[in-house]
Formats: sequence, structure tokens, C-alpha cells
Amino acid sequence: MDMVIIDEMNKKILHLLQMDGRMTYKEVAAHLKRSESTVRDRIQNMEREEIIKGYTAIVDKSKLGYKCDAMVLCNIDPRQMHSVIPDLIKLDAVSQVFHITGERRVMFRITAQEPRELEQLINRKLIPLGIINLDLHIIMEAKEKFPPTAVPLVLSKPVPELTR
Amino acid sequence: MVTIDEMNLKIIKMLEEDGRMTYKEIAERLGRAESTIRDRIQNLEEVGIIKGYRAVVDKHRLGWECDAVVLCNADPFSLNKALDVLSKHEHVHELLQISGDRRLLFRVRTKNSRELEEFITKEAMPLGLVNVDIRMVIGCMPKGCEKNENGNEKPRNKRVRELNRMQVQ
Repeated sequence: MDMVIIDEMNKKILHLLQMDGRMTYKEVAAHLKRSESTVRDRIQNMEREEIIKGYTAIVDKSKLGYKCDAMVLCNIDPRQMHSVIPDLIKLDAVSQVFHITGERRVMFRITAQEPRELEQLINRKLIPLGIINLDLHIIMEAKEKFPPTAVPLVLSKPVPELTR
Repeated sequence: MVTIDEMNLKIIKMLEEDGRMTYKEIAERLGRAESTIRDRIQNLEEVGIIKGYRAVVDKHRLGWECDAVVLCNADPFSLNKALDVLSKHEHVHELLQISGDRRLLFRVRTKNSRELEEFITKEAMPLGLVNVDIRMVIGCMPKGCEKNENGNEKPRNKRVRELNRMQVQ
């Protein structure tokens, strides 16, 4: 399999798709003034090489009634780490799992509708998994950056304003 | 006003798993008309339940090799300015105000540890951040990357999954 080179054009494509993951090949092509087939090949190559790992809708959970959002720092018995983490990420309420350095080596985000539900999730789902030293931080405010511009983007000229 | 019924929840779940699913594909899976699905998605977008769509990019492969979570406090007088600057900074990905003895949490990605050190000492600390506790992220599992029965990571990407299926056959 050919290695994908992240050149200027691929960077621009990644930038556009991070801003709007539903852009069609045609729209991306129009922004970059290239042919649709070139853009399609490049996107498919980056998907195959898993530089693009997927696409996701960004959902405002608070508007769906999930008012209780928290970050948990905890530990897991090192011998069970490999079996517990996949079970943890499978829970609907858990959205990001990080293995970090420091005193508590696992960090994840958990979202519930109300404090009582959060308490039940912890006692009935998390504790039985073998999670210890659980340190719960309620998220009071989240400044989420959208679009998340994270690609090392060195554009010779700015990407035109999105009109969708 | 949009009511969140069973169908809307199913649509949201599908789009979280694959943000590029077409109206047609969703309609087929739910056994509903394409126009119904289109209307529903457009409504969800209009009321801001769906805020947008984005490609999930492997930042490590693009050269952002240093990933850290910072827990810290800010001097109360400079808190607002610090929040404002950090939330706009290109290296900062997520910024949360949390309860606990350290009330700020953010994720930083840089190309290497020297750049992280520079960011912390030259940009973050001068904002009045104190008790800075830097935790390196040594592994990260986003939703949808659960391991499958064989222990391999399941690609999030529907198109990649299709390619894999074709190779198996």
C-alpha cells in the first residue's frame, strides 16, 4: 500500500473536512479548484491509510437532556487494565477514555441526565468493573472549540469562507 | 421545537458513528422515506442539537506527537482572560471548568515535548496559571474504536470497513 504524503493539498482537504465532515467531493473540489476525481482519490487514500479515522456528528448533549457532565480520574488494577478499558468505552455514558501519566492513570468523561443517574452509573456500572480511587470532577463549563483546527496547517492563502 | 423521539435518537446515533452517511442510507436502515430523514436531520441541525460534522483525523500521524492533559488553577483576577486566550489557542483542544482542587482542565497537543514546554512556560504560565499539573496522554480511545471479537481495532470508518470486507471475501 502506498504511503500517503501529507502535502499542501491534503492538508487543505483535512482542514475542510474537519470544519464540515459532510462536504461532498464536489464541494471540496470546488473549494480547491481541482477535479472531483482527484479529490475523491485523495480522500479515499487518507481514509484507507486511516489518517481520516472516520466522521462524526457533533451533538449538543445538554439539549438532549444530559445535564450532568463529569470528568473522572481513576485507577484500574494494572493486571486488568486491558480488559477493563474496552468495557468502559462500551458504556453509552462514557465518551472519551485516556490513559495518562500521574497518580491516577485513567481519565474519562461521563455524561448523565441528572446527578442521581450519575451516582447509579458509578455504583452499578463503574465500580463493578474494578475502578478504584475514583475522583469525580463535575464539568461546569466546557469551551469546546468548533471547528477544531488541529491539523498543522500552513496555508499559502486562507481557505475561502464556507457557505454551507 | 424538536421532540426527541426514538427515531431522532437513532438518527443521531448513526450520524455520530458515521457523519457522512447519506439521507438515503439512513432512510434504508430505518425503513422510512428519504424526505422524512432529510427533514428530521435538517430540524436537528436548525435547533442546534447537531452542531456540525467533522472528520476524525489521526493527529499523531500528522506530526502532533505530544499529547497532554493539564490540570491547573488560575489566579481569579486573570481567569477570564486566561479562558479566552486558551480557548482560542491552536494547541489547546478542549477546555473545561471543573469542580475540585484544580478547576481548569485542558488538552494540549504539540509536535514534541520541547514545544509543550515552550507553550507551558511562555504562553500558559504568563496567563496567571498556578498549580500546573501536566499529565501526558499515553493512550486514547475515542468512542467507536472498540476492539472487535478478534482483538483488532474496529475501524470507525464505514468505507474502510467496506474495503476490509472486500479483502476478506
